[in-house]
Amino acid sequence: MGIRVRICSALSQYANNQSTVLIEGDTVGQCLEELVKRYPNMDKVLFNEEGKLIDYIEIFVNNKGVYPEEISTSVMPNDEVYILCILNGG
Amino acid sequence: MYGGYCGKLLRVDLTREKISDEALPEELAEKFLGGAGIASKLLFDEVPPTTVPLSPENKLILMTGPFGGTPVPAGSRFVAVFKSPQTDAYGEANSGGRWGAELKWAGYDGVIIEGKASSPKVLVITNERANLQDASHIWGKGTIETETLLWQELADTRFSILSIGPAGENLVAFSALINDGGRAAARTGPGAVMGSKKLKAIAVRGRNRPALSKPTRVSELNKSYLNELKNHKRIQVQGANGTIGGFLNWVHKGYGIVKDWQNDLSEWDEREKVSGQVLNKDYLIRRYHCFACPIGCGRIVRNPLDGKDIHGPEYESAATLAAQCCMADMDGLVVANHLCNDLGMDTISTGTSIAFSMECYERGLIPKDILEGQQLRWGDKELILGLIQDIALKRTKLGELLSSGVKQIAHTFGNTAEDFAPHVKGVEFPAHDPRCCQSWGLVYVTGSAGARHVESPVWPETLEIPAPHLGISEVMDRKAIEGKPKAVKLVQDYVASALNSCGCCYFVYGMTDPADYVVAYLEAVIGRQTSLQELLLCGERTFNVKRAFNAMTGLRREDDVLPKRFTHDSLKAGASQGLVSRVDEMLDEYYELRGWDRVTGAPSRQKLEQLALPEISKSLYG
Repeated sequence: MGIRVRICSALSQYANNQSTVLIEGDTVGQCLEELVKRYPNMDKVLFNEEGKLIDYIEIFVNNKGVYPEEISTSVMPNDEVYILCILNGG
Repeated sequence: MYGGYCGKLLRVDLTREKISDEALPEELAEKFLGGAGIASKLLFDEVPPTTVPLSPENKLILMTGPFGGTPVPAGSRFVAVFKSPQTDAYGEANSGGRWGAELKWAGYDGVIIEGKASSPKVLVITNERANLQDASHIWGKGTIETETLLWQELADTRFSILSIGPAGENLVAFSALINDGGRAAARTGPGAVMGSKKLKAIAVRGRNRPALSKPTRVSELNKSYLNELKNHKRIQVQGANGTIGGFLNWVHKGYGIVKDWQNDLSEWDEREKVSGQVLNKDYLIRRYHCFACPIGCGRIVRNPLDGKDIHGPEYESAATLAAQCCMADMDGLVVANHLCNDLGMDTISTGTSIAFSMECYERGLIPKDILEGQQLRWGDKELILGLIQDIALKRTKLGELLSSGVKQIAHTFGNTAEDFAPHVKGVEFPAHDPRCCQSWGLVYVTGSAGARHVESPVWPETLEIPAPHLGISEVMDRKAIEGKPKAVKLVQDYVASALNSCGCCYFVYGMTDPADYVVAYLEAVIGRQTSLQELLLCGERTFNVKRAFNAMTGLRREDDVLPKRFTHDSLKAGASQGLVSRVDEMLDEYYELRGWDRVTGAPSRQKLEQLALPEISKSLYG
């Protein structure tokens, strides 16, 4: 079993409308890289021009926020990584 | 009286120039907590439903909550409640800054302003006394200069100043109260109510912190909660980038907030020019923190006209003054936002009214005699900046018409204008699209004061953040209507109590699901046991008081309606392409959940008695 990557509905349009993808990886960063390989449109919404995770992307592993060590956080088979686009107004 | 409260209200009769202290009844604090809860009950009890909003018989009630002036993080917001000139029914606006905290430190939970002064006045409140002073020499001044002049006259810059600008003096329907240099209680027209009373400003300075029942417990909670917030990305991003920082992200969601709701944000190629990224890179001087706020989402920016420090635009201001008007110019947005603050107007209603008039112009609906030669071109910065001043000063025919708000503009132009006029009950839409997220339509039509975003943003749907404490453990499908009436009711009740009655800021207490903290703080501050269930009950009670007031003014189910554009005309591009609001399909279920009459829309006698509101039941049903 791989890592179950869930993508929030605001961003799933950039992954061919897939809300859940199974991916292999040892860290959140590797999972995101693999996700971008499969769905290149995800690149621009996940990473900035310097290749760093965009401020407005929040990552949860098994429902727990992993800020500020998102990319280096280790993951295990059967873990769930959730990618959320931070939306705000006011 | 419980901890956290001062136990005292200040009543100011401007007609008789009589000022008196009154005890805050303990029962009111128990049943309604504070803020909008207590203020709405006072309005119901003291202002007859037939009252003309801009008459001396209307009252302006400014109220804090039990957290105001205490160390509870981001808990010092205050609310203004009144009969609104926009809705001719319940009106409400709230603001942060420092004013609410200072009022508590001066010894008051709230201020009730009634009557009308014979000449312009300023109300000065300290621990020692409250008195009315002549304000003839500052009548006509902007809110920024008013603040400076009052500081000079009072010889103390520690006074927190709340004032109206020329817009409030000129009774612009959507004029605002501006406090602390650029925070705004803006929606539904409190500035006009204060202006009609010839009250220019309220300066307050206090020094006594409200007593906490369990101060050690509050300190413990602060230590753990503030530590949690430091590691909370959503909170950190909000502080680092401000509310405008996420403006571009609504492209992903599919918000049709461009060109008077005609276009999706993705269709506006110039959107990045008015983004938070540009504001923070080229204009930001420092962050602004309201009292006891750990976030600091306010922006102090450079005024491009004179280089002075001013408050910068929020998300709503960028969306309405820039995107809706197609003004792709950050200088223009910063100046437009500052003009609204200084003149004392709601940026949302100002931008929306201008954008609406531009569409009416494009469709040929505006009579030539009203235009007086003006051409209302989309994105014309100079035109927009001029119109803002025309509205506040009512110095042209068009400015005077626009100052009455979208509903009246549409009524004046007739033809098809009402089909696309973005308002509910006379209150202009904020920048959240009811075609994109089904809950927004229900929030707008059932809101106690028209289309507002601060009364019940359903974050499990809009922000895709679950709310397990409310029983919403999963993110909600924005396109579906199933479960939305229940979610809207829950969020309305939670926000009415935990946020708008306690004084908590949505950006801390709405974006992080901290209901356990709200309850724990409340117990530590007021010193009695409570629960989330009790909070929700207080919220439901408050929401029904407001609804009952509206029913008494004559509002009915027919008024719970969106303009045709949002229920029939879908967006042609973007992530919400093809969607419309299905609000009509949700209303019956929502009314059922609320215990409201399906025909009249009023709270039923049974519901009011269940909520321990027999006196309101009697007023409504005899």
